[in-house]
Amino acid sequence: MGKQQQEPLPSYLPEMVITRLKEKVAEAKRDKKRNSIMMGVSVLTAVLAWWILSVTITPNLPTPAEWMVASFFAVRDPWYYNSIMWSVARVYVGFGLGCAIGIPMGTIMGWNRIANDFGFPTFELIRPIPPVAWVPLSIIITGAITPAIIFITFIGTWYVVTLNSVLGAESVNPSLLRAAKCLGAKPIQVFRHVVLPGALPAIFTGMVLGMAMSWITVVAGEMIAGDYGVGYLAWQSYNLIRYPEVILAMLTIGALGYASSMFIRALSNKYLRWRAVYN
Amino acid sequence: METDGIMSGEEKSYSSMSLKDVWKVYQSFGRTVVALKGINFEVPKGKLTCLVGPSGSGKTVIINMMAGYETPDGGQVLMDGKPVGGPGPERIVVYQETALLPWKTLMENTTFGPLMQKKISKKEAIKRAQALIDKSGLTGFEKKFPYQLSGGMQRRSELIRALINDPKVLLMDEPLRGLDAMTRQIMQDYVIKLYEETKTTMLFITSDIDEAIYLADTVYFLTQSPGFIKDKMEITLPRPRTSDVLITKEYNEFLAKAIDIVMAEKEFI
Repeated sequence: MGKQQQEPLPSYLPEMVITRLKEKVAEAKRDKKRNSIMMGVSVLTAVLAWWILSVTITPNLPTPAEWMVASFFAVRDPWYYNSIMWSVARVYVGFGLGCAIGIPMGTIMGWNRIANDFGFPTFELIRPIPPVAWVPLSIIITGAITPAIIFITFIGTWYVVTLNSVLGAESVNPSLLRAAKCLGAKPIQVFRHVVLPGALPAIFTGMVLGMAMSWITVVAGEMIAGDYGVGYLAWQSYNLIRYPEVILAMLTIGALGYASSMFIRALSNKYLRWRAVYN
Repeated sequence: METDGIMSGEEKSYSSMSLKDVWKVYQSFGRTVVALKGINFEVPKGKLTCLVGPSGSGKTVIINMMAGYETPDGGQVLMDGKPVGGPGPERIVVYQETALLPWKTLMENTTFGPLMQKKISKKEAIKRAQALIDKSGLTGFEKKFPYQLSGGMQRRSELIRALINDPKVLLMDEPLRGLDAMTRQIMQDYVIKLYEETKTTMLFITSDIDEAIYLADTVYFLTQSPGFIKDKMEITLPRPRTSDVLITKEYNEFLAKAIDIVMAEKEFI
């Protein structure tokens, strides 16, 4: 990952090979340039399609220009940042709790037969309930909006993180477990040095999915029962017939979700350095 | 115990192992498969013993029972005359597939056993690991992950990861299988060197007759399902053994005799 330092070329390379290597570098550069041009064209096409739709068959849809003007004022309003702060805080608290409980729970269940037999039936019973369906109950239990929304983001993360951790721990090569035992590792050491790192790739997959779930649930929760947050901003803007702000809120949610998954990907690149695919 | 001089040939307390009338039977889907039919053999103290057998002759089952992962359905697996318990660092297994921990560097893998057992300090473990790494031609690769090592390097790493624990018996289950011919030759010489320098009690399982004769003091021949020991051969080739021995008359006589033993079974197939 990242920029790679070019080692000096071996001195015995003939001129023709060096020329060819330079050509290859130039080709790669051209490809990269074309790639970024296509990216711009792609976005422009989408905006164009949006504009055509807004002036033809869906007149309620704000035009890109209207959207830009409205957004220009909206992003200068502290309320916008306040909304972002609320949603981010709810997502990360719920996500953090979901990981803190789901990762140990899942890896232990995937590793230990008895823990699995004890935990999995109940887990499977609860799992088919969509996180959003927990909204009424969580408000009843907690009696307040923010804890209720954090609770459902927790549920959303916890499901997928636990499930992926179970699969990760189960997928650890049995010969590694055998080897560790043979070399004198006690069960707790086997867990720490073999099961957990072996499950890590799957755990990160679970965390990426969990983060996505967390954003889905926070937005749904804020729309249904919110008082603050980006989901609430979208819904409130709709009620106030401020349609450009609806789109702004949507795009903000998308950007925040993207940034969050980049964060997890950066974490996973750091901890999965031992995997050949990352080089 | 002063444990500095691994591979330096100083006197160590090694063990002998033996199997006495060992049976192993598997049942699945209503079928009964006799994997081992009353096996008897010895792995004498300080000797390199080879067990040759075709695939499906229960070689891995034998290793698993000797290591303590499985228990026999009849008979006894003994170490120094006493039945063996569960797996542990006194009987270390090197399997045919690599079992280096992919998320640990060569140094971390090599020091894994000592650090888990906590018998010596981390500093001491690193010092001993470095000595073994240097002797195995792996210097400069200490911080590499297993996927960055070649096949031969991985096998050598695995052998030193076992040896650093001063095992009383080293059990090797086709450790050179899947290597290309040249690497395999180099690795055979490496195994011979390890054995001759440490005189660790070793059991080396292989399906390759040439390899068995080249390495062993004693070769046992195993038949196919149900597996039992059909013959044994003392290899009196000189030690230290080098690849020069491969073109001698004695070596070829052992080889011819071994092929006769193996082919005798084929008439019934």
